[in-house]
Amino acid sequence: MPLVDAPHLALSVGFWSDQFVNGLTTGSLYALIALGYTMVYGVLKMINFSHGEVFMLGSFAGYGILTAMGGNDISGVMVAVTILVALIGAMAVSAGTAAVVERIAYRPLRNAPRLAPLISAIGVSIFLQYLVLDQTDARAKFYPDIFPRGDFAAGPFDITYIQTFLIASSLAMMVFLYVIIQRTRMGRAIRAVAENPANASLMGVDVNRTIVMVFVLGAAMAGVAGVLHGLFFQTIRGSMGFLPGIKAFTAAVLGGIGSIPGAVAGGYALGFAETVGRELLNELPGVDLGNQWRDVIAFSLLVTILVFRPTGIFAERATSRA
Amino acid sequence: MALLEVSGLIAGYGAITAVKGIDLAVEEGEIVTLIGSNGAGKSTTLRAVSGIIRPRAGTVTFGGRRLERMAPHRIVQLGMSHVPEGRGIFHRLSVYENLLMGAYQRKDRDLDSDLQRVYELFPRLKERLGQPGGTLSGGEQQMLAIGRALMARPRLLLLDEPSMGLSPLLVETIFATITSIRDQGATVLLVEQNALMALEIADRAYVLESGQVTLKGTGEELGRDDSVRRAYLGEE
Ligand SMILES: Nc1ncnc2c1ncn2[C@@H]1O[C@H](COP(=O)(O)OP(=O)(O)OP(=O)(O)O)[C@@H](O)[C@H]1O
Ligand SMILES: [Mg+2]
Repeated sequence: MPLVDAPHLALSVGFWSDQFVNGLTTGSLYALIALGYTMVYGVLKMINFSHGEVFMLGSFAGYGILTAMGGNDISGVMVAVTILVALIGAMAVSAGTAAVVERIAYRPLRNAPRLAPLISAIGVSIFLQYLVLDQTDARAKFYPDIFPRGDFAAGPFDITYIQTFLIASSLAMMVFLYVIIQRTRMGRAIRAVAENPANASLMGVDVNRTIVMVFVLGAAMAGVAGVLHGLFFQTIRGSMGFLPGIKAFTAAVLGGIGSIPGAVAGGYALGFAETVGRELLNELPGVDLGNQWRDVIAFSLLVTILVFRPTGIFAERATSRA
Repeated sequence: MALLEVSGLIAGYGAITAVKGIDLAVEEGEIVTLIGSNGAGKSTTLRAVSGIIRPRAGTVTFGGRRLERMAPHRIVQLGMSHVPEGRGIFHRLSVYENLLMGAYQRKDRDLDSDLQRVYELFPRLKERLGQPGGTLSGGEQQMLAIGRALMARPRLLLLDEPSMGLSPLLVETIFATITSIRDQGATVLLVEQNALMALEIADRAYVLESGQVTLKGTGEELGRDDSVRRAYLGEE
């Protein structure tokens, strides 16, 4: 690695461990959102471009619940209770939205040419975004500042409580999803439909209902990501779904779209590329990349992957031999 | 009334009409076989019965219920299992998970005795429970497809060329299995290229040509029929 300035690197352990924690934080959000893209692609071979808005709606639902339950006045144990309620409410709103969108905007187009559902998804995305922008007069909203401040040290890492909560609950959701997909009857049905819907229906699987479940599960992950995003960054707005949405899509492509472990790996890879990766580039002589370069890095990665390895860097070999 | 009654069935794909008005019936407890040359419409008939494709006209009645507009998963719930041409193994699911998928629609969760029965019939599967279905050999996949269908405890089993690609020894096993499935109370509608063996175990048989039934009778009658012997049993 062309790191000329090595002593500087070694001296600032704190700086690099901060970057690492930041990478974990954004990576967790990307991974959670990316799961929805990859699961829908897995069963329908379709990019659900309204997924970023499902994330945004989850964030607003969480905001609405936290505000209604007392906003900045919430304290003590009630903080934990309201955040839990907000998470559950956001999952419900996101999941409900995704189920309705699937029913009215995607299902009627299931046998149409592949461009049709894609355009429909973009339409839904614009509709939801402008609906919220309209309802909020295009103004930002601010999550109540109720999460306990402070941080603690774990080895070389200095990590805030909110980051700990964000990373831990993201991982918990991923484990939860993994167990559903790998260990339950519904998960088997989802995997069977992803592989061959006609054969799955011959087993007695209701394919339409299973597809709705895929949307619902992916949307629930995005809803949680929406609340975590709000708690962490505090500012939310109707247009907030676009960038994380498209980056999570990048993450899914990075990991090999259709693959669930790939989406998680891709999410964290992208999170680290934007934080640790950018700072590593800054170590090069004469390079000084500001914060906006995160997006440049993300989309350069997307283009590079699409050109050189469209199956994703972590793509597993298909297990079929037919 | 027969368990399965097909009447005036017309079915096809796009511009192709593959099944052109056929009538057939399968009585409870029978093995009925459908033979005919390649492209005669045998698989299409099974697909129209199990709901994978919609019939264009005609009726399909199973246990007194009309199926023409019913979704395939509902038909499975009525007690019909279709082992499709090409076996329909889920390559990414393990052998064990494939077997569980067979029992997907069952209300009771008491699968142990059924699993044991499948392992007894096909000990090979038991050694491979954890491996992905796609890594099985063709013959093993055929065993899995049949074992999986048994997991559903079907009233009516539709089998599309279960002997395809199997060694002669295994073909014997499969045909013995089909007979024993029937003896245990299921009804079987069997599509076969191996007409000789199919006619031997079948109670009744239909010959399909270009989407129409050209001959029908008991297995024995058709086995003796000169035109059948020439066309399907390879005799001059
Ligand atoms: N998916 C499909 N799309 C278009 N045409 C099809 C399709 N499947 C079958 N056909 C056509 O329908 C006709 C009947 O096919 P079918 O599969 O029912 O024949 P079959 O009797 O099962 O033949 P085989 O013994 O070769 O399996 C054939 O002419 C075939 O080309
Ligand atoms: Mg066929």
